[in-house]
Amino acid sequence: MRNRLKVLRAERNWSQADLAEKLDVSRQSVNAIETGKYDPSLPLAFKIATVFGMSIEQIFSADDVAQAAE
Amino acid sequence: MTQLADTPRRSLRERRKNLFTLLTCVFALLYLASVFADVFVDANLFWLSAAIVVAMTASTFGWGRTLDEAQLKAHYQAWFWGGSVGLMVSSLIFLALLPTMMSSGIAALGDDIADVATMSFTAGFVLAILPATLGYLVWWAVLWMRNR
Repeated sequence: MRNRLKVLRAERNWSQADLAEKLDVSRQSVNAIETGKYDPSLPLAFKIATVFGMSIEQIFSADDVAQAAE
Repeated sequence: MTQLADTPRRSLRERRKNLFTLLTCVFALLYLASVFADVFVDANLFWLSAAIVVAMTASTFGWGRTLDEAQLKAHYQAWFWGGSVGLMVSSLIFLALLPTMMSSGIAALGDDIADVATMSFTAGFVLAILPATLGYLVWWAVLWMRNR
């Protein structure tokens, strides 16, 4: 699964630690999600979407969907 | 479904975890003092051991509840893969030692059978738990380094 976390975080000038604090997860977990090593659960995906004020689809996309769009 | 302001609850869990970890260390130190310095009589050893196990279990639960989902998954993976590799190593050691153990076990039948049983159980426990725990720690360290 692909995500735009790094871009969205940079737009808001947030560090990984800032985002981790807002999500109540560890910084390592934010890093794992950003780099695609870990796909978040649906509740965490909702939490991420809430923090950024966006829908889940605007942040996450399946690999094949992202490739088709390119 | 989502709770954004969860931090105070999380810090309460942290404090509980730290308390039980501290208790575990205190009980473990008393246990070691009892074993190596004969501070207590043997009857206290069982109760100290029981206290260690209870405190460890409580601190493990407390610690587990402070982890987020990605950390939990990493620990599950580390236990599964690291622990499995460790158990395979245990099996190899066991199979390699089996012929020797069989012959010395038969030879030891004339000795105090209770001592032989105690030593065999202890050796079996260490053989089962040590490689699996080491495998878990190594696997976890690799995952941690990758997500640093």
